[in-house]
Amino acid sequence: MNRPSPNLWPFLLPTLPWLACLLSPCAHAVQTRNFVVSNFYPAHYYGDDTCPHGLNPTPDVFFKRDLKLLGVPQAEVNAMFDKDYNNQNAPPTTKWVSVVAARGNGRDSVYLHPTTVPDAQLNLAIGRFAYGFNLDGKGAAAPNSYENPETHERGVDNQLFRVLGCFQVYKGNPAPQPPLEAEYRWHSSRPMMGAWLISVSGEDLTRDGEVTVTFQSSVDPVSTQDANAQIQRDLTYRVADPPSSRNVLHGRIKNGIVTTDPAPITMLCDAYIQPRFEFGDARMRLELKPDGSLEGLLGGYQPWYPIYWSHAKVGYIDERGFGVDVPALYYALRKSADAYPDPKTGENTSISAAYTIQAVPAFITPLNRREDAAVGARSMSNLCATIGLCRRLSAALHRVAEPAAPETPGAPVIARRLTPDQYRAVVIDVFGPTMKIGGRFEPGIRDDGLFAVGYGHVGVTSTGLEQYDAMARVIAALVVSPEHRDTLIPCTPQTRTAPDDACAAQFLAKAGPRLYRRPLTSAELEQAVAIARVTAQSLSNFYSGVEMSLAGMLESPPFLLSCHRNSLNSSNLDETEATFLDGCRSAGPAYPGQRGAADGDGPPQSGGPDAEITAPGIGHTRLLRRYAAI
Amino acid sequence: MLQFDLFDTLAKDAKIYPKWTVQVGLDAQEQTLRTIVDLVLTQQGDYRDLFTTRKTFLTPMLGSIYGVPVAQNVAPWQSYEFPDGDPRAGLLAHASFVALHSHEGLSSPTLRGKALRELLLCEPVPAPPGDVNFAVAQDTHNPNFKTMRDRLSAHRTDPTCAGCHKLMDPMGFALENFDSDAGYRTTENGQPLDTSGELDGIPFVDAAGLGRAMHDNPATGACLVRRVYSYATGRGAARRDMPWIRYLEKGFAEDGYRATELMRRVALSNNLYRVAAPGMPAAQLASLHTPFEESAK
Repeated sequence: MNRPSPNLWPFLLPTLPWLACLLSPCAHAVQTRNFVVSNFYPAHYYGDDTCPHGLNPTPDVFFKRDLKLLGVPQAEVNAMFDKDYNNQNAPPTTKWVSVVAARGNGRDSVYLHPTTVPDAQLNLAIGRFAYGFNLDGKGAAAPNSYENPETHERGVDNQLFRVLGCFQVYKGNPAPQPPLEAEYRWHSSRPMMGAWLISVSGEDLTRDGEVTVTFQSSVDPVSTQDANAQIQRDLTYRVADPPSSRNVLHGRIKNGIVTTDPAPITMLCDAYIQPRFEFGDARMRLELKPDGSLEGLLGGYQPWYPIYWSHAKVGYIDERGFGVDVPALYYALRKSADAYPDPKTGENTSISAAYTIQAVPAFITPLNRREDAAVGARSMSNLCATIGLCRRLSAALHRVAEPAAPETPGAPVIARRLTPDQYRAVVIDVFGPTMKIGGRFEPGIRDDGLFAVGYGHVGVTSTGLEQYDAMARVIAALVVSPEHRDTLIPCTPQTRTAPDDACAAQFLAKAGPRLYRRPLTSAELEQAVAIARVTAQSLSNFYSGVEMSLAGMLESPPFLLSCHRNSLNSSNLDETEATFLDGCRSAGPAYPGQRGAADGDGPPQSGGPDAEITAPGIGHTRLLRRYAAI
Repeated sequence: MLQFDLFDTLAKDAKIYPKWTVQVGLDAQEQTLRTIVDLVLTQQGDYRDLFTTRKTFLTPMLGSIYGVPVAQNVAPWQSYEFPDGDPRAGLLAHASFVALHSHEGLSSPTLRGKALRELLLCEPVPAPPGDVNFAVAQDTHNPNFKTMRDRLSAHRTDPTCAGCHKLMDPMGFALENFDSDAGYRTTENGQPLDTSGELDGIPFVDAAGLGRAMHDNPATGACLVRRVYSYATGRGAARRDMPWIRYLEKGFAEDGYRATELMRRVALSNNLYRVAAPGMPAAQLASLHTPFEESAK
């Protein structure tokens, strides 16, 4: 090997940092911007002169054309066409698809053997403009080259556009909309494959200078969209070491536009599009946009057969769904290939192409680093929990000498309406998650900043009670329904058409305390059983009786309201409960059936034989009237 | 206390804040709850440290909002510590605070300051008059008032507005680095943001400074005492209970502001279970409910 003569070193020295960057992250790069590719599709341009011979025929035309060439009787084709081509949502009634798929010789798949069909001569995009790069360096002298419509660079080599540009689905909607098929393919594959990441590193990306562009794969897919159905920005993507694809390119930035030197680029993709994108003599032109995103072109020479196969493997669906005449595409790609001739046949193996790249800001982290951090955090958490235990022990010792709390005079009992969450939790806890809770809960109010206080002041309006009633009936009906009764009712009545106090009591004694969050008094249980009995007699149905009694419980104050209790020390439950109920009677929220604001029959008033004052603005409370009536 | 029920109706203008989704709103609540549980319960830490801690838990979506790396497909929640010098310190920098207390299309120092006063310091702020003219404050395209500070300064020229805004805005300005979607920004309409402010005479220059001022403010701990008291008893602080509340405040401080100890003191106190005798005369009963008007400080 000849060592460069010493007088060449001043010229070679500036390139050394970039050579180093090829091996490891560039030590000189002080600024890096990372992006995740949000869109990748063949760069398209469509102007008035792009397809002077018109667009390519739609599938209904080229199917019939080829079958006619094959010699299938026109009436037979039309019959199959009408039944299956025009009616795709019903089961096939003919062999239409298999006939079309073998339309070359009536035997072999045209997708595996495209030359069984004569070359239909696709209409090519032969206009003046196309996006891409002057790949061969010949400039405008190159045959079939284009002019870039934006930079007006001449000699743009993009034969893939020439082939695809006159398919309706590659004509694209007006820019910047991507071509339909390419967009569909990318967004179908994007959540299934590792994200494509682009990093641009340089000393100062706000100034002109040299940069390194790293184009690599993540292990994480791009699957999260923002509120506008665009790719979420600033998410984090992990990169394995080594990544499945990694291309490090030398380039430069000028006026916010990054261009890279020609180099091969390979990116693994998804099998649905193409398992692998390979480009020879590839280069990129990327614009760092003011909104933080990145947009530009990737161009190079692609092996043409994988492009063909990406359509052929989908076969009939690609033809019928996207209007791509697959055998004709085969001929066009093969004829338009313009680089890398096969040494034996001399036939070109690659075709010049350009793809649009759109990318949004992202973070890139090495695989596993965050997982390790998470594990470390869990260890710390355990340690901290241990420290916390020590602190509690210390605090317990400290409390030995703690002065007693000053006594307060006590306060009236507060009854709080169940919050919607509490209501659901109680019902589901008692009867299981299959219970349906239809209906709307009355809104709570904040008092002193807290619902916890406000729910002690709100009432149950007549409208609200209707909702509670509806919910209670639905729940009760579900509990006694044939689907649930065997599970939720712990006994079977002697007969379904008559009352059974023992069985009703067994169920109500079990459900009641759990609904009321306290033991039932003997009077309460007797009353509930009595309701079940009377109803069962009236309706000649034991379960209707239980249903009615249960519904009553579910809309009664002891269920809907939660009372603060003083104690349950008394050995005589009924006596204790009476004290408690006295407290609730004087403190609870307004409830329909009471005389007061909740009934809408006037403002709260003080005094009266059935009302006791609780607090200013709370109003009268006789919340147990309805309860007592049950 | 945190008013997370307001998330049910929280919306952001997707044109301005495309990153904000329903999932981000759910994650934002969970982030704060996890941070509280970790510091207050798991680590038995000082409640006031919630306003200065840089440790939190994030999802990838919250990482996107905050502009920090949080790996996807690893674990839904990952512990994260913002580096020293990062403006995101404490609960006040969480999306659950700055995004919840903002408008659909712009931040709001006033709403944030109001929430901070009322929710975390237990200091009620009077409601605005019914005829407020918001024209200047909400015109984000006015070339003369590029930042919210500029617009609110113009708004405060009305003396009827100035009195209350003084209670709220100086604290809210410190959070102006956080946009309505909790994303970080240093400018508004091209104008650099001035995030200096003050809380009860303590000046600061940024959100981290506000967090420290909250940490050191005596009302911060006292407010939590009142909240725990109210959760437990179902009522606002009343005059009859003030000796007990003072006792709880003192004990809270002596316990190093550990909320679990505070809850223990409340839950185990006979005062929680003591009820007024039934049949107490109406006037006497009503007087027991007289709200305690004194500041929590």
